[in-house]
Amino acid sequence: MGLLSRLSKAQKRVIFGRFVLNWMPALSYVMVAVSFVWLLALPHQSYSKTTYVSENALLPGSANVQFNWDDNLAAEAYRDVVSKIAALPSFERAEALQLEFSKIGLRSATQNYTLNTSTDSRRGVNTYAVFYAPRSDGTEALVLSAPWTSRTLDTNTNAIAMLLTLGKVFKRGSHFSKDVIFVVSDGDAEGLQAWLRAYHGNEENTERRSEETLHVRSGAIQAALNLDFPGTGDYNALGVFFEGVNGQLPNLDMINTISQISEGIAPVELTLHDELVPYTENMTKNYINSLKKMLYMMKYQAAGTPTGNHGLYLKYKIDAITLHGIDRPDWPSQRYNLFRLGALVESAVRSLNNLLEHLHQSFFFYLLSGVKKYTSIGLYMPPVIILGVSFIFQALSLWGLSSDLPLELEAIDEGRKVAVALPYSRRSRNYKVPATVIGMSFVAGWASFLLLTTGFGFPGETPLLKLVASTGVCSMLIPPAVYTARIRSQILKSRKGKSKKTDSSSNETDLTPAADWILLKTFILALSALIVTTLSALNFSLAVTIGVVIVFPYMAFRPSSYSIISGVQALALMAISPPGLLTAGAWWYSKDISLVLNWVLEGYEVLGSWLLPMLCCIYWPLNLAAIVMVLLPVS
Amino acid sequence: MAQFALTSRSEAIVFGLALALRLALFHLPALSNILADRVEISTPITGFKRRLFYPIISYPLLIKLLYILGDLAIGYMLLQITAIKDSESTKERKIHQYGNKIEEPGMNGLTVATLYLFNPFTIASCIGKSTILYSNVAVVSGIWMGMKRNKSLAMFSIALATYLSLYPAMLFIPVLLMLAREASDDNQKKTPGTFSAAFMGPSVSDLTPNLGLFWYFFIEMFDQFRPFFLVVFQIHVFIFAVPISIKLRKYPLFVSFLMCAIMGTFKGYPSVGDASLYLGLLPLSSEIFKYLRYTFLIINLFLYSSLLAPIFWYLWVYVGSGNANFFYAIGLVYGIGEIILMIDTTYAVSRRDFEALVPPDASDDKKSTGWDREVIQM
Repeated sequence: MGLLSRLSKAQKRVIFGRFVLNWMPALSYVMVAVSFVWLLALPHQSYSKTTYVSENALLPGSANVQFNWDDNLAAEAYRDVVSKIAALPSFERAEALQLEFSKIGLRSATQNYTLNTSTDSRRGVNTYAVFYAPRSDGTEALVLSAPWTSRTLDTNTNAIAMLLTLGKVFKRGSHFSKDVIFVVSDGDAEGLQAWLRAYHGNEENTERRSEETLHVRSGAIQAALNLDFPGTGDYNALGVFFEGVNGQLPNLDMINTISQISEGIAPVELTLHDELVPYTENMTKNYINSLKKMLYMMKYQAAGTPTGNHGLYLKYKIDAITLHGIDRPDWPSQRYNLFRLGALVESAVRSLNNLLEHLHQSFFFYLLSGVKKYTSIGLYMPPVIILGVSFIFQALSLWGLSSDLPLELEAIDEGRKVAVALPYSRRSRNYKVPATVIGMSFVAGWASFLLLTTGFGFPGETPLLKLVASTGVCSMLIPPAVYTARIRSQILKSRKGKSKKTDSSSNETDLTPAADWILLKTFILALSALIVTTLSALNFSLAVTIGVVIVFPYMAFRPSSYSIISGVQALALMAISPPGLLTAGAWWYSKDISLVLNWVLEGYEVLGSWLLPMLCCIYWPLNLAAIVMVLLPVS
Repeated sequence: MAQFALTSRSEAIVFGLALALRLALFHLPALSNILADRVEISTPITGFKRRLFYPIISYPLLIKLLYILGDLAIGYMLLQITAIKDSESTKERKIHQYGNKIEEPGMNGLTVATLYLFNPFTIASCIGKSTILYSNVAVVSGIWMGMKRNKSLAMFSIALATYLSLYPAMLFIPVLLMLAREASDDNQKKTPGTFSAAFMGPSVSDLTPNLGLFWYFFIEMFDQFRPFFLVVFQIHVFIFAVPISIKLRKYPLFVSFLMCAIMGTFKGYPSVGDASLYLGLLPLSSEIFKYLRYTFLIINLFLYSSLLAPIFWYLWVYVGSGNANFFYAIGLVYGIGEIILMIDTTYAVSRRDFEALVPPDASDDKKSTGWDREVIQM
């Protein structure tokens, strides 16, 4: 009995070892397939639920709206005023707007700011005004903001006119329990950023950036609406933009509130972003539309650059969205003008005014495939985890290959052949090459990041030139690493040949460490899994994008004895390296490479987005190590 | 002689690199400040900003040098401990392995020191100016002196470590084992009289979140249960000391590693500085490494928890989309990693002990080979 059970235990281990070696790689591909199918299934209507307002205090659309026909006329008058002011230079423009705010009776002021990036210097003037709620102690506030320039690059005339009108409307009412701050920001995003920095006042001015202290203040900002209504005309639909810096999202109740109001008190066609999708009963078309919507959201989230000024509030724990007026004359929906817009925004502010505490009831982690269709974290996280686990499984089987799997020793001595599971690993792993390659490629990645973000101040210095230089730095790493490793393995081989001649011990082959590429690939796969899964907690879409891009090359590629195959693999890996991706992105949007690069750099320097550090310091090193890996000798 | 020159030169390179790296990192004041504010690095007890150094705080350079020297001293002591261990292991009976081979020697001292000096946890803890470093110096010097059989200095170091963070009192036992090894004279009778303890840690009154298991539990607790659970939690740390020391008395170095790991896992305010101590002591028993079964899992658990802890902290404290459960969950994952490390290394030591006791090729019988052979009474 003892013999049988013991043998079966050893055999069990052997079977397990064989399973790990032979089936785990196959299993990992199956898991990748499962994860992809799951990701694609997410926008399907049976997986996404209908949104609902979770915070009961909000009561969207239940307050009587004060905005009346007279206010509409006032808004139209303000529209003309704003159009006139908008033509002035920054400072005069801000002063003139401040005057308009103070005419209403709001305390208002302007704020100067300067921001120097490695490429240029930006100055501007913000205007802001505070409506002090008659029944509050001034500890809480809401923000209504509008940039001077809309995302369509027109002047944001209607939105600013709306701010002025709403100031007038609010002044009449006594039902506000939170102050309302109106901010009209200059520049791209840096204007509002400067205002928010000064409002929260925890950073000192440096040589890089300076912002004037705010003279008019209120309490802690609870929520914010950013208005983006370009031009002076009417609109077909209302777009909601919500993705913030580094893929941060506002509480879903912000979007729910707007969607409820747009169905009731101020009927408007609501959509995500600026894509209008026709209604259809066709299941397939419906699915395709949802998928498109979700991919748009994932694109914006992965980029880490906010789709509007609302994204800047999120950094300060303020939930915010941008409302964007979409003017599409050929679209069949009913058009709306300032009258309805006023009712909508006022109703939204009144609703947020009801809040008793910070928005926290609804989701912070969600994917939207429609204004009223969400997928919660419980449903979208598993595919990324499965993707990560598939990396881990591959790594695990290689890890076993590099050591003592299968756990059997066929022949210990001659004449005795039995499956024996050893209590220890027979051969030690050699970490020298893989550890050096990984270490060096991380150093190269960080060096390229420093190179890209430092201004050296020599003439003719452009980001593109720096990118070329850092690509040079990174690619300089590859040939020495590959050749050193090749020479090393040659020496080891010749040494092994010599020792074989001298003593004919049969175990000698077992004791030579596994080929360098096996351990290096183990490291790359394990680190990829680590990055994809941990990043998914911060920015799900970026994690998915990176995972999808790297999963097949990193899992399938390995050195080949045919140098052509290795070369092709290396070229494919270079195509998914950051410079390769940059070129591909520039080609896809048919833009100049330096424009795309500037956009990435600006995201890092102005908004503090992590896309550039992430790509340079984490993604690129792994890519470099993978290139070295496919060029290493096979055995 | 040439060999000696070579090793001393590579030692100089390793220690010089460690020094240069630390100086360079200290040169970035932003990094030092960020690390000093991380809850994973400075706890209420070990935070640089919270206490200590008032007299010399006006000389920042001096403080930095003190930290760097502490780290280098630990590296040097690990080097010496390995040397003593190696010189003794040549006398030991060799373990025969399958195929009648003699066990390969373990890591050399320089590797052990390098693994300590370039461990990211060590570097982060040093740059973050966590005062746990001084307790670590005292612990390692206690072990060194124990290996050198220097009774009074060994006991003084352990007493100092105990004064600095109480828990190292446990190390009294393994150090005593070291002092008493292969000598049956009257060593054991001399117990030290210089114990003094800092009773700051045990009450766990500051519930600032950290990587440990206490804070979350005690936040939730009703006040009337507090003393009871405090006692239970603290006894739990110490309860392993005696059984471990009895079972593994032949391996005092490993016992001290295990005790440091237990402290680093179950104490009230653990930080990565504790991890750097026991991860530094682990390579001293490098001959057990090939018996380890969960290396991949353990490395991954440490990697994931050290990356996810700051991320979940960020989601909880800065973004507000997460909550305390996020961070505590990662504390638990880290704890699981540490516990699996302890279980696996203990298994490896026992297994190696068994291999030494019952050489595999002692008989021709199939029953006595392989992983699942039975213990044969001799």
